[in-house]
Amino acid sequence: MSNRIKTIVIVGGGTAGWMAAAALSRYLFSGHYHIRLIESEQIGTVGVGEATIPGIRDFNQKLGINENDFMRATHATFKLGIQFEGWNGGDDKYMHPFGFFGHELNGVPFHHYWLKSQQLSHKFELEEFSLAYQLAINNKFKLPNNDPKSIFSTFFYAFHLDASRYAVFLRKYAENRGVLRTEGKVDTVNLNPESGFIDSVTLDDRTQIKGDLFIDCSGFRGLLIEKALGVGYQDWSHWLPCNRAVAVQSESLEEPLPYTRAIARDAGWQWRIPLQHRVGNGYVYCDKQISDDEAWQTLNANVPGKQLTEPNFLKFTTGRRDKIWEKNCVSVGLSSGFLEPLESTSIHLIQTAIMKLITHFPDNQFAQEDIDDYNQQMCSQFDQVKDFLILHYFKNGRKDIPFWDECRTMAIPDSLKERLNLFQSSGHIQECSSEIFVDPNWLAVYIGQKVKPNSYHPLTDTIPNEQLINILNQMKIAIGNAVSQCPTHQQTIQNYCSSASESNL
Amino acid sequence: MITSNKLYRLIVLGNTLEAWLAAAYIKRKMNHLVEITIVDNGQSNPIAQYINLGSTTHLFHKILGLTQNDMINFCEGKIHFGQSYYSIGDKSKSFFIPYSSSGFEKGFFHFHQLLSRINENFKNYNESYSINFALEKNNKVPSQSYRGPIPDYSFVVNSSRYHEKIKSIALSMGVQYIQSTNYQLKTDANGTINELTVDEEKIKNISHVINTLVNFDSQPNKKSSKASYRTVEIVNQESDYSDIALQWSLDEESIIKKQKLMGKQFIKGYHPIYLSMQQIEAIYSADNKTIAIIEDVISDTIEWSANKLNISLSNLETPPLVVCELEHFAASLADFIRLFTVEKNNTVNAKEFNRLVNQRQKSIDDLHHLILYQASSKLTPSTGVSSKIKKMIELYKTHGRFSLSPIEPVKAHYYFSVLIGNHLLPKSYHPLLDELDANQIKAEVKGLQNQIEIALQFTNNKGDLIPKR
Ligand SMILES: Cc1cc2nc3c(=O)[nH]c(=O)nc-3n(C[C@H](O)[C@H](O)[C@H](O)COP(=O)(O)OP(=O)(O)OC[C@H]3O[C@@H](n4cnc5c(N)ncnc54)[C@H](O)[C@@H]3O)c2cc1C
Repeated sequence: MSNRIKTIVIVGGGTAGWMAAAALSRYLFSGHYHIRLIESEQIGTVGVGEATIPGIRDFNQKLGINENDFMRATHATFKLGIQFEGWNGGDDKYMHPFGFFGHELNGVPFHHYWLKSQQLSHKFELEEFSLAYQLAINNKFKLPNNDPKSIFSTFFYAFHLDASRYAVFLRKYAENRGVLRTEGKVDTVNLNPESGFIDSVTLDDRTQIKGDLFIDCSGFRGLLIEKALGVGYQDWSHWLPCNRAVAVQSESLEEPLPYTRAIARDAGWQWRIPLQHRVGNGYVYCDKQISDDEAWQTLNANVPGKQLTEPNFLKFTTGRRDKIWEKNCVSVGLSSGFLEPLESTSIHLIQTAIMKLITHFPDNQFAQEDIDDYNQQMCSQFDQVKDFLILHYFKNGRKDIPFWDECRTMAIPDSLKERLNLFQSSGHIQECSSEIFVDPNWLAVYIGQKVKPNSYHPLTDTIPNEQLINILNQMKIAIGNAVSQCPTHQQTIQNYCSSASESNL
Repeated sequence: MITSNKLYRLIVLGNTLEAWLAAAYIKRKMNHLVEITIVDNGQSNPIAQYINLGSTTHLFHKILGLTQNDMINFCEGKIHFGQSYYSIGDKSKSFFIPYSSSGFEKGFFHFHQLLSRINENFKNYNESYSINFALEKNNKVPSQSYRGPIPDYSFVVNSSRYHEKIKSIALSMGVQYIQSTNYQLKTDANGTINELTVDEEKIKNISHVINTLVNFDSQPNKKSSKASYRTVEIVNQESDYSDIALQWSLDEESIIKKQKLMGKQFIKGYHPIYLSMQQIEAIYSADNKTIAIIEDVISDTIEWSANKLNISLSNLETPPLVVCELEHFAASLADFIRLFTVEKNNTVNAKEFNRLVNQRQKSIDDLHHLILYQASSKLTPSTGVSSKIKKMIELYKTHGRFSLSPIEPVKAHYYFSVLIGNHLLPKSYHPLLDELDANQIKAEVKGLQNQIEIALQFTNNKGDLIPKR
């Protein structure tokens, strides 16, 4: 092919930059392409982003990364879900586990039977039917298997990882495959006066770096996509009002939990992400409600154990770029948008952006059709995550707290309204194309946030009540037995991927 | 929370195939929870003598209790592995749409992109790399000793035999059948049907009414002002639609001539056909015998409003060029069951049902329009082709990419078959294909052709059952 592009320049060496470099080096291996990454130690990375969702395993697998090596290198722990604490006020807790609840009967989704059981004498909690939840809450973990007949195929897992170590790990991977790293600060982005395409970037030492395709991984700055190409930004603060965060790392006082904690606070929420060697903490808040100082005081008072770092204050505006790809520049990571970390979706959006770039990989003609299709697909990913996140805030039960009262009364997007109506009306979960979050994810948050359907599916009545209770009891027992067979989370880490035995990767 | 545990009364209007299918399916799913009465107004609904059941309805038929044996021996079914389209104007633009995709995908590369990478002529890619095509062409079906996955297939059955079978299944499950022209539906103040009187007998507390008549009003035999009908004269009752040939005529004169002619002609029956383009005047069989002359099109949509559901093969506007009316119908029934609700007048579920059905309808229409668009060079690109499909064609034209969401009912290889079959080839292939070793791709492609040849040795003649896997 003669019109092949030759040089790909990645600006930024955070998680996004190195994930992009690693993946491109994996798929562009023949020597036809030169991949160059520019990063500035002086500027540094955002320094947060440690909780993931199960899709990350797929990314690692595509790159041929050995999971034990990866976990050892990034001091990772397993993650089976997110526990939301206080989102309904008081001490209420619920979990969004990664996995199924029960199994369908006669073609009717399980949760309708559970809803029906709520009317009967015998009350069950939905979480009793989730193996992921039961493992998580009992601090146990075992790798799932693929045999659909096995109960151990009913859950998925992700990781809590040290983001800076992940970047180092991927850097090694990418450099071994020929990616060239340049230390330096991009000073100017040089556009072609006729086409408006990016010709090159000039570093602060006046080095000029030319490229055919530029990948903007410069973080919130959006150095190429926004500062140079000015694509515009959709501000979603009216739906997702948190716009600040303060983060700090602390020592571990206990064995790591296999789940993230998201604890509601007066002006936002606090995360706790347990790694093998430490815990990541942060408070995501809205600056209209509290000052940075107040936020830090709240976080400081709620971080058990010795703090290992200085507080890191971050500012952001939730939303996404109007175009993720413009001309010869694709934005990946924070430069493309940020929705806030409540459901740990940013790294997932990074990997999606990279994989879609590979499927839409351009030649030097940069066909507008490819770019439009890419933008349409990526924007729809952001939009779907947005609705899911808004649900948590909109359905909160924290009464008489201004921030939460405002969230409860906000005008939500029509797409979410429709979904909610459908669930409230009859417990039906709307199916949509290529979603990150599917039925069990929505169900966990609906029920967790106390959204109760008006009715359950009439077909559940084909099973007599007594028989239904029996079936539910059997499912519960099967899950209990499975949990009792499993080692603790800590034991699995020890045997599988302890960072104490970190090899020289 | 509203609890159910009650009996639902469903009224199905019409002695049509779709009435019996709906009754049998719903009864099978809801069992003792539902009491179904079919009321026949005496109006018959002749459809083509043969009906293609589609390659995605096997589960639907399993639920109904129809076996392969029933299909072949009772319903006089023939197995097909795809659909042939013959272009009368330009014979080289004939093509085959296999039910299973041809060739193989490699990562995110489509098969036709792989062929392009190795400079292989892929104009006939279905013909050369499809087990479906090979079976269809050789009139074979896989035998017990056949190795490898069973390709997707469809039954084309005698519609009256099929109708009879479904009817007997429904009756055996206790579906009631009342034959009377003297019936009346009573609605409450909200327009919700709540009572049916047949020859002075009353059925009260009706949960849903399923209207399978072409007529959209609850009153039988009364033509709704909203609905416009377009009909087709089925000239050749023997044809089974598995081969379709097309002829277009754009010149005004012949359209007027046809309209005049058709106005006078006796219409023997109508076929569930939707055509948005006046240009099609007839459907022909492969041997140039006219199957049907198209006069008019039904142009209303399936809809669920309040407790009335207009659900009929005729209402599902499946275009004749994408033979999938039964697939669409079966999927709509499954949606109906999924969204069945205790609450009377639940508009939320009805809205969702309509959304799903219309979404499916749009995809089917898109493929239909693409076939028309591609097959006739005279047509202007704007005619009937949705902006979505236009975008997809443009995307395809550059590097052979095609993006369809995974829940689309029409699969990407259907589109490729039409585009490639009509000589619309991408300018280039995926740039990253140069990263792969051409010799290795060649070896894999050769391997595939060998596999097809070997597979053909383990086949029976059509008419035999297909092994279950
Ligand atoms: C509070 C908070 C919590 C988060 N939690 C999670 C989470 O739990 N899970 C999750 O998936 N995601 C989370 N994220 C998002 C996650 O941190 C990011 O998606 C991820 O770190 C990727 O960031 P990045 O690489 O796009 O940007 P950055 O990490 O900011 O990297 C930008 C890079 O660009 C370089 N750069 C910038 N300007 C220049 C210049 N002029 N010249 C040269 N180089 C330059 C920098 O040096 C750096 O290398 C969180 C984000 C925030 C703000």
